[in-house]
Amino acid sequence: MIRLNVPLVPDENILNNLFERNIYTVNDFLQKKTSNLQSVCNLQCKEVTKLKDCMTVKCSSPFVNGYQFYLKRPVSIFIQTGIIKLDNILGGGLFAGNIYELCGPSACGKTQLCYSILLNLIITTKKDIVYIDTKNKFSVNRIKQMLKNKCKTNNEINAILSKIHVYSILDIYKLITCLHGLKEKLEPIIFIDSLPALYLSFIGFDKNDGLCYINHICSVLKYLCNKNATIMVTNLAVKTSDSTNYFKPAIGKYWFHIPNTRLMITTIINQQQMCINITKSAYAPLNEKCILNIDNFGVS
Amino acid sequence: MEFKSQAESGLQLLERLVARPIIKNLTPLLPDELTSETIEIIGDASTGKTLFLTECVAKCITPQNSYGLDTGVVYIDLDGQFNITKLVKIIKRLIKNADDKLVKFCLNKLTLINCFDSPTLYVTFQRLKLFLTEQSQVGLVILDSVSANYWQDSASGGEKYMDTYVEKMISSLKICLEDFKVPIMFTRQSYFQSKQSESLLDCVNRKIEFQRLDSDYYATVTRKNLKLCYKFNINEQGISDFNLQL
Repeated sequence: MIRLNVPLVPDENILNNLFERNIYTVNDFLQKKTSNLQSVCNLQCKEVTKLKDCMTVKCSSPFVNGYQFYLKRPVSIFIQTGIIKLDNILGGGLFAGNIYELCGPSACGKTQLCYSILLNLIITTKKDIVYIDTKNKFSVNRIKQMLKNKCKTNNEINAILSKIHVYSILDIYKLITCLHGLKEKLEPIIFIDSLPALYLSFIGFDKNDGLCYINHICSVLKYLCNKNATIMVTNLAVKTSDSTNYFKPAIGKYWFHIPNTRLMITTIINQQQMCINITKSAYAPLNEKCILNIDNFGVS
Repeated sequence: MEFKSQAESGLQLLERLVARPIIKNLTPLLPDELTSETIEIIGDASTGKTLFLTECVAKCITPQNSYGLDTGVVYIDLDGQFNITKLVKIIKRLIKNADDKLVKFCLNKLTLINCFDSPTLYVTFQRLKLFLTEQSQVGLVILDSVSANYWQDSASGGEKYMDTYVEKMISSLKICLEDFKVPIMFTRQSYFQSKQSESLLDCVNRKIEFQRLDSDYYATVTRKNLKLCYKFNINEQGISDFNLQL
């Protein structure tokens, strides 16, 4: 909703006249007939039409030419996760401008996988990483253990740790504020661990406001992707209502369609291993699987 | 004797005189002329909807000597699923030995709009009207995912019934484009229906439903009372041929 203000409207008097008639936003103004607006604004019909056109152009989304859009795509096409088998099934690595979802049942290793990818990204690309922690579970000790096992010196460990920006966010409203704040960063890499923790408090009530906030969050995420951010979101997998062992992602049908690529994780019982399966992707072939090991060094 | 005089607005005159390209034979699913039609594409996730739209865009923007339609396309992307690299891949498949200059020539005919909330979207529809007046070579408007902002809109006092929400959005787009004879294609997710019915919505002329069973993909085209089902496959290069199932 873009509220009418002086640069859009020629002067204060016209603005006050419009407010008196309950015309507060650009949408209200554009929906009124030009003939009615003539008397309100004290302008000629031609001037009102010109004003409408001017407002339309200023307040709409930008119309981008296809070739310009193609040129704006990030130069380094993909960012390697460092886990070779994962990079292979992803067709090279993580592509900027996409939302990736890691979906799996509780305690299957999603956070461990996030830590491993995070560290590999910092070591190879030296970029800053934003880590949004919704369960207050971020463990610096585990990160230090993984880095020590990779034979990093203390100085190197400190340098790497200073590149991880952890945001501890415990409710959905703070997440929205945080994501809006990230809009100014240049091509950020964002990890959100885990999204359902913020949404679960909304379900079960008649009036499910949570989906409205999830929708808003997804709009901001898509905006960030448009600016070539890379986003990785962790989600829970819940059993479907029939008794089979089939898991589906939590949060619901709306969220189901949002990520560009979904990686479903299943644990292999009695072994510290996880099996990753691509179940939704715009570019990678579906149902490609790989098996990764979890150990002290992280995930490989 | 009764004489009936029909006045037309300046815009309608312009539209009548200007030679806007007509979309014909866009894909085997839509072989005839698509003037002023609204086509709904409905399906679950990962059934090939956005890929199908990308193939349509590629067919439109490639030049006629490569069996394309040489028309401009406006793609309103509300979902963020459109992948320009995939489009370029499909163009290179359609045009043998395409060099960068030719790809640039094709991409210049595509206009992309990314919208993140509904009020801006409605203002963008108004701007689309101005845009189509200036650009007479645009022949197709695509809206990816009507349901993208539904939850925000319904929570802030908008329409709650999903079918009515879709009708409202498509009707307002059609009103903005009513003087132009441009076909509109839009996508909708399968869950986004108030009632599961086989009939088309009022504002829709044709419906294509995408389904996937393991690695087989099916597209069912419904037009009034006629239903045709096609089977296709998706590979690295895009969508392979459509085979009519009887």
